[in-house]
Amino acid sequence: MSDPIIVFDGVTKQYGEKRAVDNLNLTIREGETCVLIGPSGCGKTTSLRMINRLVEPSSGHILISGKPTDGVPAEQLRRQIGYVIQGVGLFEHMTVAQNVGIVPRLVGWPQHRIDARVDELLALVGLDPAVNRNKYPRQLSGGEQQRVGVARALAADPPILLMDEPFGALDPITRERLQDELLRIQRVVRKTIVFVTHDIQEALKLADRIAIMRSGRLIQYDTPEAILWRPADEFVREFVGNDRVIKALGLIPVERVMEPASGNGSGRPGPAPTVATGATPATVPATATLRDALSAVILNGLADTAVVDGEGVVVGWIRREQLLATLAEFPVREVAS
Amino acid sequence: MRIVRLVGSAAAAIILLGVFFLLEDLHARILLAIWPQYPHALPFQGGSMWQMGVRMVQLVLLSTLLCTAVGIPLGIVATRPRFREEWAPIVDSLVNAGQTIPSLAVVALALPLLGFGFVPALVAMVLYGLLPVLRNTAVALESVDRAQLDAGRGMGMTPGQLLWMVELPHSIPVVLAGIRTSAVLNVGVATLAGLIGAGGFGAAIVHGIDLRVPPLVWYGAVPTALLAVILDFFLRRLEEILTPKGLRLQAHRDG
Repeated sequence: MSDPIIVFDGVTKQYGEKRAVDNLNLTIREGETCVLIGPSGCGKTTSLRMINRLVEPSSGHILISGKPTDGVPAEQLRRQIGYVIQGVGLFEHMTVAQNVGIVPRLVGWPQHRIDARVDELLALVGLDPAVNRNKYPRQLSGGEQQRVGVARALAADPPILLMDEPFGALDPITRERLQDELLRIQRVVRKTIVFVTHDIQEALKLADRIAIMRSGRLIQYDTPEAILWRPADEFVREFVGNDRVIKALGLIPVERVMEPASGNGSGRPGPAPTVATGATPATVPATATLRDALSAVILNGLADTAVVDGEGVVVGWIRREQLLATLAEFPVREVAS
Repeated sequence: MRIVRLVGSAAAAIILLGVFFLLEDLHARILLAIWPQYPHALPFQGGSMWQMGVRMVQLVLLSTLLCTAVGIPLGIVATRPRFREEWAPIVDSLVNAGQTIPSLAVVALALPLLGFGFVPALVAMVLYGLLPVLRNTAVALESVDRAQLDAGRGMGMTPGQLLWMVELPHSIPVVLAGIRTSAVLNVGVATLAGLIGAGGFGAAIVHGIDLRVPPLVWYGAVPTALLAVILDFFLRRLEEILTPKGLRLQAHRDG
């Protein structure tokens, strides 16, 4: 297990009579993606903004790498923490390159180093530097703007990235694509990410750990699997939804129930059209989850279903008996543990 | 590139104005032809077109410069978090009061306090022209996108860096529009300054009204109108040229 990098130590934020955050104790580990989630007004954004001191705690301390955040000037602290927000907040009078280069400029990098870093980051977030470097934010789509926002936050290579509902304003397709991109980028950069969202699906997809908050209090802090299988209380159970077991299946790779195709069984599938309709049987991509597999199996009238790779070649089979046996084990293994 | 366009527009404006002054004689002849019953109205004894014009440009340029030099910093101070609560209502009431008092009254009020001449006229003009600059600066700074301010602060900009790198560049178009409004207003007030002996085209107009001689009134009024139009044209060009490119673009539309 990696080291703690951000520690909330009895942090409270009081606005007049209201406690936005109430005695929060939370440890976020290095290289993990921690998603803060909860209904509006639960204190998730306030908690995030206290990390880079855009909001100052009323009491308690936040430690980063063991040092209290109020030990250095706020500006200096913030330059070492990437920050991405919902409205993106790109500076419209600056080019993409100037936007990405802000923090390096603030901390005094030489221009040639900034230029090289900007191109490197634009490529990382999937934007061709030659095409986009000199564009202005208004010339970009919402999704492209948010990519630039992520590149900008990574510019000075901060160990921590704060993301406040970064994909909240995007259409569902763009949002999903950017979530995939973030997972890919995170595999490359291995930052500690603190991510605020109100979308449980997004949280389940991105998080190593999810912190569920309600009325300023931390209700449950656990892995996505644990939250779905073992919700701490009625509130969490309701928050994750009645289909939580189905959602949990969405976190399990299809290999768990797949019987690998034997040597001469591979090649073109040709599963017999046992489905009553006579339509071509549904198949499951090898990268899919158990949830997708279940969907295909149901479509096939619970008949054996082929798992295929990117080229459509069968790599394995989902057998009804195996599937049912695996599903039957879950309550014993996951819920009870 | 920008500098070239800027110098170009300035030169065009100055040449246009200069040509008009050089055609002084023609102007007088046309006016006398329109009103043949006043054959001795022109030339104006109070000064040549050139003298009046120089004085007029002095009044307008100086007052606009002073309005800018005072109005922008005041607008900035009034919108800083530290002062906003106390200053915003004061700025508000100042703006409202300034818009309520007619310019003629401002000039008239300056008279007993400061006497006759160039300086009192200038003071009255600055008092009157300050408000558009101050108001536009404050409004522009207040209307900078919250997300951009949040992002800037979150990336570790100091308040000064935020002002220079984000707030002021975004405010350029609206601040310049305020300066333009102020300059054009000042042309009008400068004419009234003729009442308190500050010279300029107002001298001819005031004199013409006193004597009930229309060609004399026109002799001052036509170049005044022309000056206002040219100034407005030039300052509009200035706004276009100085507005950052990224802010002139149309927003991208998804889908």
